[in-house]
Amino acid sequence: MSNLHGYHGQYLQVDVTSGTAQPKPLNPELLRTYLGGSGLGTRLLLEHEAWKHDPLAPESSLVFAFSPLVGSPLTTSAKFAVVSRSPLTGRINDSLASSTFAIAGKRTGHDAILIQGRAAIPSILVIDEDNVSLQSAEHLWRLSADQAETRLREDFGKDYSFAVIGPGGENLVRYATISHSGRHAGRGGSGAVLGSKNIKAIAVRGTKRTDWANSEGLVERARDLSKRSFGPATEKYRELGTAANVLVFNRLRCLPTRNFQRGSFDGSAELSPEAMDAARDKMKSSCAVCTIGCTHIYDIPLDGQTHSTRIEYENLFALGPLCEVRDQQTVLQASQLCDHYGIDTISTGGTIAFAMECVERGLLDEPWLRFGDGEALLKAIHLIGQVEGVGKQFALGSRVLAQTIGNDSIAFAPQVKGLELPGYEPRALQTMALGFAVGTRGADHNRSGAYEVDFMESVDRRNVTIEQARLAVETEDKAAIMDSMILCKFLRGVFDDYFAESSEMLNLVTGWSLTREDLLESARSIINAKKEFNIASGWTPKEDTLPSRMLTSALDDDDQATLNHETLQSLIQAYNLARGWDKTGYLETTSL
Amino acid sequence: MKIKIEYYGIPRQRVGIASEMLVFDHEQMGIKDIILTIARRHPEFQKHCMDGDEINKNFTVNLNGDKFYQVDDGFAQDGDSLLILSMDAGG
Repeated sequence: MSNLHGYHGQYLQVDVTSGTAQPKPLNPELLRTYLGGSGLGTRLLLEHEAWKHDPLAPESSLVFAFSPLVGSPLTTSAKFAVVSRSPLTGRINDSLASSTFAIAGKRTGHDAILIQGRAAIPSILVIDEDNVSLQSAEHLWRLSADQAETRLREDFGKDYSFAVIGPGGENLVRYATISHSGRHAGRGGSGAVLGSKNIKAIAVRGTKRTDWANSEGLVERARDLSKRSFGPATEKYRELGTAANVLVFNRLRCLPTRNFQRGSFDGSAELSPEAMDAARDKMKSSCAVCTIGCTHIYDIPLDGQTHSTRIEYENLFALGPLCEVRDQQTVLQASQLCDHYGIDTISTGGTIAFAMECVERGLLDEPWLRFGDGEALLKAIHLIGQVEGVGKQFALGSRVLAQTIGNDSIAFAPQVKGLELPGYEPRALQTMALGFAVGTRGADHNRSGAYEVDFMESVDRRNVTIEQARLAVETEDKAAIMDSMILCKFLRGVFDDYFAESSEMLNLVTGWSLTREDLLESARSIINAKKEFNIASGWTPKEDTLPSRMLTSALDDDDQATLNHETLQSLIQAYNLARGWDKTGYLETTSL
Repeated sequence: MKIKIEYYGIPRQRVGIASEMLVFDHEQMGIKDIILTIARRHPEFQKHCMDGDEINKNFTVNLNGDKFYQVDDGFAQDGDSLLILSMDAGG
């Protein structure tokens, strides 16, 4: 038993080839630096030399990492990170999600679960505290994650929580997700890594709780945080959801449209949350242990049934404007199909939009696949999920598809390091462009919140200077701590001094005496660890860039939105130096 | 002069309209003064989106889709559009 507060002081190393598991101790100093979630998961991957292995090989490692706050009364703390080498990028990947899986997983008595090997047949990995076993999952194979989870609940009972892959993960779609209670660890293909191990689902149950160093203070802090979470800083998420971005981004011409050729879409009004609220019934929901309640769920008909579909800005942008599909119902159906197959909506939409442009340019002989054709979008998603026909190529993501097509199509494949860009047009939000280019998991809006810098009055978002590189570093540092301690990023607006308040919360849980400076140092250590992993896995500075079309052409609808290679490189160099790396992005020292 | 006011997200929810045209008897006008005019016209905007005479830190103002204004003041002229939106652009 650990004498740590908030931690068990050990992780579980599972070999699904043999069906055996061993608890392994965690060094308290490592926990103090890397905290949990993304930080802890990355550190464990480094220790297991996971950069050496093909992400889909049996030797690869997949980590489910919890955090010291999991199980506490702090709002939004029921979260976990899934960390592995990405089959889409070949670099580090960490995806986060919320659900009771975090709470039940931690109650097994472990701060993380590391999975290696490959089961002989499709299996359910059952972790009941120290008892680990494999059960056949052949009856669940080909079911959606949601359908499989329903069956698992019936079979195992309510004490268990589950993380499940859909057919996309089984079929090794390189951007397959891991799902649980309608939430998804979405980006980078962790679902394919689990599928490659022949694991359809992980079932966890336990009774082992960690204690808190200062329970009274923690409860008081949790009450205060919940109260603040009801305030104006989160009301956008509560009332409209992230979909509220659609109209704003369209007006600012930073809504990626037609495979990042335009920054506005004349069908955006139809896809706004206001229009959806007017057209159909909506239900609001929230993650486990969350007082914000950002989840907006709409009923849609699909394949003769009514489905409940959760809508976020990223789904709408990727499956709507990016593919120029304007029909609200079709976009909702496309989102539902992605959930059904268990595939990332951003990479799905990005890859299909890229393919649509290739068809238009005569580079890909799939004449049915046209911008604006909703039926073609739905057909393409089916082909990807089932890995049939041209879906076999689409399932590898836009970078590999571009390499197959050739003809310099890589210039407009919407990806960085292989990860498709989310819904922030880089030429119109140029601090975000920097964040995309240097992101350790590729183009990403959750590991870098640099778009916030572009919304500052002191910044000209279409003409950024190297001064903004330091601000981009700060948003990454904040995200690294949020993703490791772990709290929802939608809370970030409620803090006056995020690092100071976070250190106080961690101290109440752990009994440590962390300062805001200690947490800043942790953020740097976490990001250095991710970079270290990438360098070990083959990263070179030339990966830190954007698709070359974005560096040579203005947006079709905004001639002020231009960015060139020299400007981006000067931003990257300033960023690298601000990080304490050499100017090309290599670490001065490594732990390997 | 005429200024188009465009409301997005929560400000739109509070005001209840997507946009409106305001007419002022000036050739140009300070953005903070325009915001105060909006607050006087729309009590729900004053209640939810303002801290006294200043726009709440959770919201921001943008002129013509270009420059953002939070603390500094700027000027709007005839034909300009003033966008009022949530500060948080997270998706």
